[in-house]
Amino acid sequence: MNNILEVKNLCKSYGDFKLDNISFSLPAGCIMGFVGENGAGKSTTLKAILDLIKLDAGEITVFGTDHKKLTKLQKEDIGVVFDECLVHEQFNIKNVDTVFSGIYTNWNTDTFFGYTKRFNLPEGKKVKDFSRGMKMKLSLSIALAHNPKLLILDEATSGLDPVVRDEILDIFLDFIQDEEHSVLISSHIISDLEKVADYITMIHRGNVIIQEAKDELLAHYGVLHCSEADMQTLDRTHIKGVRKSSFGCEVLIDNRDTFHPTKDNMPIDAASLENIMLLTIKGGNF
Amino acid sequence: MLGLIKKDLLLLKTNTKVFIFIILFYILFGVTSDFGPAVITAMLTLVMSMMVLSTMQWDEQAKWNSYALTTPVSRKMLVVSKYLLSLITIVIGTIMGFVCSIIVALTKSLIFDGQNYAFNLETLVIILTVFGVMLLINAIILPAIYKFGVEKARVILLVLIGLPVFIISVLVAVISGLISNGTINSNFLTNVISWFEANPALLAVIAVILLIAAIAASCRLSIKILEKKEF
Repeated sequence: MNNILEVKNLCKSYGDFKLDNISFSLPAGCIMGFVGENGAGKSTTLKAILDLIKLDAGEITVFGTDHKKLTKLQKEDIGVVFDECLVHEQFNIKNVDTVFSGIYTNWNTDTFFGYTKRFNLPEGKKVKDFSRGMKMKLSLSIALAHNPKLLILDEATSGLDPVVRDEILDIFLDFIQDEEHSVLISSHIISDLEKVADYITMIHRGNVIIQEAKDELLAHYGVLHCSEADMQTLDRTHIKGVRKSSFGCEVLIDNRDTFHPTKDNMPIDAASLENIMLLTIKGGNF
Repeated sequence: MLGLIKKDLLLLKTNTKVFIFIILFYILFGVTSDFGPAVITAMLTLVMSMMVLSTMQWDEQAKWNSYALTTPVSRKMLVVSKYLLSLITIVIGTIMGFVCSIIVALTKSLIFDGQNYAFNLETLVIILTVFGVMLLINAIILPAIYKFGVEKARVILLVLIGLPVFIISVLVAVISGLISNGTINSNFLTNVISWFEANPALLAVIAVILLIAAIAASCRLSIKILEKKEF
């Protein structure tokens, strides 16, 4: 299985914020969830991949080509959705179709209107009268209408209601039925990623802290409850984060399936992606 | 590229009501005043040439450039489409202005009998000069917009329009000073002017070559500025 997207040692600094040696790969036929707090560097990484900002160091290849040297045809194969709808507000859907059919040679008007009808987007209304959800659906329709192979979404589902999000996630699952398609979705709606992601890359303060298959994470990570004293007896190499409270400690371990309790009464729960994220990020000091 | 120009024309189309109002205003203005066809054409050309500025402001508001650059559109294409658009709008403005001035002339000869508004070679020269000047103004303002954004560029535009007047007054003062204290012979100046008057075609050709060179240089500069820009 080849990689549609490869990021190697990406470095970019903006004054006090820095992306530090970000590396990850997205294989074909997969959905990768890109998770992190606000300000962790998700949008910056995506902008770097799309050549909207310059790298200080590192290399990025898309479809096997350096991301700065993509041909026009290769760029047709990338569909992008940002967290805002970046289409002029004075336009209506017909105008959008006219504009984009002159930009993409692979633009398919029928596909575009197919999606806009499926999403119930009104044809005569101007984009400035659209609700947030409708704008997002429009962005998605645009991204899908030129038959891309790689979908890059930056917080595309934030602010949408669960019904709409479910619909959109189904579209992504459909999208990767084609083995040559991939999706890179950055989000902090972890439940969405739990539903559809194959891989999870977690970024914190400009560093990649977790990069694994989602199923592996859910199989091996666990949350152990014990007292602080008992926590000190555990094997530190398997502890990924600890949260202390007056009731005791929540310990994130990565070997739930092979764990041997050192003391009695050490109940372990399966860890959800949200636990993993919270405990890794907030439970660094132990 | 075609999509970009279509986009800008569609955007301008949403402003049609304003244009019609402006056209009617200038027709009225022309009928009730003494201005000849050249001035009316010039006014409308000016109005149209500012349209490119408006499309860039709308682009800024929609943050269109960030999105456009994720498509097969390159930075170079974005810039070139704006220069093409400025050519298209100025041509449209000139044609519209000319048509308006004909309407004004006809209206005037109907209302104020006997007045005859001559459309002669001088009129044509003025119209073509305005056409060239508008292209030049756009060529100066576009890199400024790419570098500083539309808001700041508007200020630069205001200064720019006042600048030639300022420069010419200074030049006139300096040259007349030099003539009165004998440094330059006033005959020299008269000779230069009559040489240009005797070779108007040469002057026109020089002007056109300089204009094309200025537009090409401006386009290259804009592309360079945009390539450095981060979104």
